[in-house]
Amino acid sequence: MPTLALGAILAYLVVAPLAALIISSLRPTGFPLDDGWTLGNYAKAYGNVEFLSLLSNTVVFAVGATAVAVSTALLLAWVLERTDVPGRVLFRIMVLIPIAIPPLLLALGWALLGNPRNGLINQMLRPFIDGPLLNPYTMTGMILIQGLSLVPTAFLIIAPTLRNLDPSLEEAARTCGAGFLKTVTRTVLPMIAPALATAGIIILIACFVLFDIPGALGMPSRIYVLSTRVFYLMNNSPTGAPLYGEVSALAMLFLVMLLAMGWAYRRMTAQSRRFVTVTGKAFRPRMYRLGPWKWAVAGLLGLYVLVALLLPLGVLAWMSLLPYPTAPTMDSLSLLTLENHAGLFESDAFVGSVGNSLTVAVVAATLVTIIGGLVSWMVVRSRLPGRAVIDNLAFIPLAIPGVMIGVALIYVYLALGSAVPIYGTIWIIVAGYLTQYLPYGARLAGNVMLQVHNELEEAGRTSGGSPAKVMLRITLPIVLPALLGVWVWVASHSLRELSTALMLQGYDNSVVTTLLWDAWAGGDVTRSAAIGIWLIVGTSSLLLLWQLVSRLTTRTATN
Amino acid sequence: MSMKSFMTYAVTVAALSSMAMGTMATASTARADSLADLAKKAAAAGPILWYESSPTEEMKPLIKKFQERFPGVELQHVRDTGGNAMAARIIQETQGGGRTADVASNGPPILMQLAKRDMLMNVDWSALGVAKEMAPEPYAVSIAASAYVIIYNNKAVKEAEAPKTFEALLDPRWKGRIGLWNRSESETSLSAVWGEEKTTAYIEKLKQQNPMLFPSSFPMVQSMASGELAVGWGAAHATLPTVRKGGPISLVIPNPIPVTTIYTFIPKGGKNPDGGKLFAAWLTTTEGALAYEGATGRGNLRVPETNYGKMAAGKEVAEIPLSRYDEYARIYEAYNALLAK
Repeated sequence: MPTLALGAILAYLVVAPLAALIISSLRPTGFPLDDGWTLGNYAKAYGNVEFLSLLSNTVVFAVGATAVAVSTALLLAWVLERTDVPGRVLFRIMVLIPIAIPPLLLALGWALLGNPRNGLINQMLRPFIDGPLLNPYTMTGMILIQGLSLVPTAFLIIAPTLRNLDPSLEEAARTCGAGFLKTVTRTVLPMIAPALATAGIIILIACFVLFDIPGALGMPSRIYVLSTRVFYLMNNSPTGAPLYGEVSALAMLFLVMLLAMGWAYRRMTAQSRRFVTVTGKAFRPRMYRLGPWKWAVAGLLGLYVLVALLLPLGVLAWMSLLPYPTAPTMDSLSLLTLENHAGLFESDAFVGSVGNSLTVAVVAATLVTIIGGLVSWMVVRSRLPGRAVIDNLAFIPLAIPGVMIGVALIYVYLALGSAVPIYGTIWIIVAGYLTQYLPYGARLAGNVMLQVHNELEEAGRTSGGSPAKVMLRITLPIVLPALLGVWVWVASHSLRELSTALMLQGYDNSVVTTLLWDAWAGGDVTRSAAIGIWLIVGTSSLLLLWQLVSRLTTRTATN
Repeated sequence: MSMKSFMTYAVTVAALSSMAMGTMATASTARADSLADLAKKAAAAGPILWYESSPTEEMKPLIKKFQERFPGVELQHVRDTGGNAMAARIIQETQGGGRTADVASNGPPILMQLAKRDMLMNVDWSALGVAKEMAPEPYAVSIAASAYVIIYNNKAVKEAEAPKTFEALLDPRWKGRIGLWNRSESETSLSAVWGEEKTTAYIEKLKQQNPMLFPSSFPMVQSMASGELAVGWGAAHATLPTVRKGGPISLVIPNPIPVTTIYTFIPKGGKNPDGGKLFAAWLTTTEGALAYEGATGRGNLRVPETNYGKMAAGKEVAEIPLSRYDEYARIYEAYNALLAK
């Protein structure tokens, strides 16, 4: 019964977009409700002479960015969760704030900072080195910027599992004579392997699908990946309509990859006992003392924060104070103005969009957290039949491009009409985000659930507790920090999401990012920077609040 | 075009909104009567939903003017995200049985996609006083155009040095400093005058200049204003937001001028087709054309009172007509692929 109920919810959320994707890939025009069937879209997508080159570029880009994101996040999570480096709370927040920066503005910021012609950093270094040091319009530049932008996501996945590690495992390793490196590689890393795998899979697929950075930095210099090809098919076809058929055919590749990785992940985590670290015994995570090295490590953290946050944020703030973008010079100081910011709060459209954005973010985050939490509990903690199907259903939306989710939702809610009259309202955007972010919610929660020993729940049942009571009184408090993390992650991403919101835009359901895009696309990039700054302020406040709440509710010992 | 002339253009466009506020419609009595009848029906049918690709905030003066002209009629603007999204939206809404636009404005690809699907209403435009040259097909009227011009950063490039022709963009001094739109609408239109072979050869040489490609002319102009680029080829109206704010951007009107006509059309699935027809017909009047140019910077070449009408005087306008749309589509796709390589 519970499987059926959850399965029905997931089917409602996932099957329509999946069906739209598959049917669209087989229609000659790509529109699911048009007539005819064909395999021609697959032939055009994969038989294209450019396809192998696109795929090769995409693999290099995605694998490179994933390696940058996961390795950096792992190092940061280790330092911030397991060492006594000073300023951990502040650094933790600053590692997460880049989630709030819309990727489009991040790319624009790096273009202004690092373009080979008159980028700020290159100009400053010109007296000391020949030629520009930085060039974001290269594959290396794209990999680094995309990788850095995804570090917060990887950090949110990896950090909780490091925090929940029982130190007795490491102590046992040290007792047997293992040094620090051996302890880490032979004990710690295997214990957090599910989290590393989750981070790797999510980020790898995201790099295949995301467009902002390849579009803003790759397209100008003709470095194309699959997502820029999707952009072309959606926008530049002379037929006057998006080529949904080819887009869907390409997306099937992502789907196959995702299902393969999901199968590998389930095999890896099948023996969940191997990853248990939270038991009935209380513990404190082992904190490694850095001694005099702690200031050097703090300095490196500071360098990371400078590159990943302060530089792009600084240039965005600079742009937001200008009438048009220009590099910081003595002359351009005279152009500084607060007009972009003042104008925002005088705009009914902006104020209305803030309300819409907050409503969408809060509702989507809450629903994803609840459903994702239930999915992860069922998949990880239960022996209910059909949980593999549930797991796959929850994971599939990761591979469906946001625009195709939008296409499906348009048809579904037009068909439902007055029965579910949400077309053109903010609620259709909530529905889109619920589908889009469910995989993240289920996986983030699932990783932490893997670490909880079932003896705790068994003790509860032995004492006469019903399954619901055991879940609420025992399991939930332990995984609550992770669920809060899910909520914050989904809310932050909902606030900055663009492609689905644009697809589902109606007369009066604008959100902040659609206004930001309006300004950018309409030639007012400094106004879009101002909108971005306020978006970052709002999201950062949310992250700060979350960190404060986490400190109050985090439990390192179970009752 | 000299800096002074360009500033005159920019200021004139900015002032066109106020001009439109005081300009009376030049419709004949018969036209005025037919539009008045249409307005009564439109007012009774509820708000007119208009899909168009400009920011909604910028359309407010135009909407105000229209609603003052036809009291009781309400116009609602929904911004389209550009590219081919508008056609997709109208198709999906029509197929899904939901509310779609009563009137929409866009270029030839979107127009022809919807026309081929028989999703557009045929209208007797002449009965509404629309001149024949503005209604090439019964399902659309031409209301404006995007004109593609040479753009340059006037701090980095002196007026005397600025390229005055497309050929001048091939000067080696511009190598690595040129911006282009990644969609080849302008090059395709240019081929209507130059011929396909000459244009293809030109694009091959232009690519040797290592141009930077942008998803639209607007971000290209912003990059130019920041000093990252020196010169570019893009839509004239994309320069206005930056120029209005004092950005160091100037433009040169080349000869021939490649253009893409913007059409307005009535989807069959709309709930207020009379409102759609009313608005479309009004946009072809001098008052409507001035209001649209004031709001978007894109004027109607066939209305001499508009800035675009004046800009086109004495120049050859390059565009493949709607009647040869298949040829346009073939060349457009070929040039997109050529630019991308």
